[in-house]
Amino acid sequence: MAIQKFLSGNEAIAEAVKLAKPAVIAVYPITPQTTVVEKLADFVANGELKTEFINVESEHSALSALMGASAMGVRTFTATSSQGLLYMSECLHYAAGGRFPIVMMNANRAVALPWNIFGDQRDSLSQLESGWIQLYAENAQEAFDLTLSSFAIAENHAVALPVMLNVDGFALTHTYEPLNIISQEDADKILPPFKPFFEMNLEKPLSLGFSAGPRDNTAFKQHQINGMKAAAKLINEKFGDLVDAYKLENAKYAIITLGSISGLVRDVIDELQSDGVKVGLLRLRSLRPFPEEELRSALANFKTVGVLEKNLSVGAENAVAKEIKSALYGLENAPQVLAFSGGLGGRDISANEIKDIISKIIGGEK
Amino acid sequence: MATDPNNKRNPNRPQIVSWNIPSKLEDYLPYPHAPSGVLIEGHANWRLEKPIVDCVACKNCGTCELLCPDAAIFYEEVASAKSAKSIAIDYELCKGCGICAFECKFNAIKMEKE
Ligand code: SF4
Ligand code: SF4
Repeated sequence: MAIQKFLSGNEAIAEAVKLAKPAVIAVYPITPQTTVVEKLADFVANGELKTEFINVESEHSALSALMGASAMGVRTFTATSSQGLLYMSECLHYAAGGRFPIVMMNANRAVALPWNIFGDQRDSLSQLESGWIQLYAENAQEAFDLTLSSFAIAENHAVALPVMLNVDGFALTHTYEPLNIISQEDADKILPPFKPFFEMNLEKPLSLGFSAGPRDNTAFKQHQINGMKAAAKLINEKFGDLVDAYKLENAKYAIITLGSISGLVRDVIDELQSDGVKVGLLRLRSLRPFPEEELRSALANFKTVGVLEKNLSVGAENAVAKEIKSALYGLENAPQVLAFSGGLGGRDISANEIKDIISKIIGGEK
Repeated sequence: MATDPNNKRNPNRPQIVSWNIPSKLEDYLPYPHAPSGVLIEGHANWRLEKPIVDCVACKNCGTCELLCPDAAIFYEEVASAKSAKSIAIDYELCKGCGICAFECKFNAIKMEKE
């Protein structure tokens, strides 16, 4: 049985974490993730959540502490944003290579300089190659659902990879929505107790994180690739697909998005389709694993697609657009791919700007 | 992975668990964590020179034991003298960096060509 609550995105994530009952939470506050930390600290203080809550002195330590906890065989959670995520960067690669199934919420925010605390996606997109699963939520309900799913995905033994759940800063973290919060009983069905993939204990000590030189290194990376493939299969089967198609059936043009802007894009598409414009939406729910097959089959007969990301690759085509182009490469009559940057440093993307982008897609110009 | 029966190591030292280099991917561990004692990358074959302790010059000060970056130096019981202990080097773990020889104030460690 679900109950309705009126919550912000951050509060929704904290509610989901409470239902997931991680044994260790190590976290350092940073705007716009802070209220997740506050809410979790409240739960711990009033006895609703029994967990080892470590107030670390940095994000680097947060993730390091969780690798240790995870190695001891328990469920772990952290949350961060922007500069905090970048400060973790070394540990991100470490956690993925170590196959630690840590779940982390990342409040998508701009990165300095110029200093900016508002939402865009440059933080997580700069970490695509860290080996983490990267999911993107469109609204607070999806953020809630995906938080529970993230634990189930990370902890699946065929996967055994950390998950970064990305939620647009302010647009999702701080806006309120009526939400369905499932019961503890239902949450337990989605998420059984954690069974470690490997476990460190005093009876059976492990040499954790050994080095593997030129002869052996590639083999461990190949195992990671297999983990990612298993994640793609699991998400498609149980957690709502890597991509979310909206009104693509009769479309010849598509706009591709990730995160909260997709809601407004849907409204614009409704309006344009009622005027006979053949444009649809493809929202990426996952960037790692990257939905290559899904994109190839969804967009096979399209003329032009435009990728709108809150990101900027200085001196090259934007990261997500480039990956979509690469996914479509070799298709017969592959659609033309146009790249659009928007929403940098929290700048609003209006419905009119989306219409502009769509007319550029239809016109085939940049 | 098994402890090598021919490996005559000091029983108080970490035992080395032999590891066969896998020939195919499935034989590799899926994560870089192994039971303690497995040396995926042995250090012994990194060495160009090996440290040799001169037990007469050695004052048992413990500096080298403290400073060895690979915990390859330890105190070993001396068979001939009850409760006496002397410095010993675990050549399975020593990588030949020479820090011990450099730091010894009594010139009791010499690096010798392998
Ligand atoms: S530093 Fe030199 S004197 Fe001191 S214990 Fe080592 S070998 Fe002996
Ligand atoms: S040479 Fe280096 S590794 Fe070997 S015992 Fe001396 S300090 Fe340790």
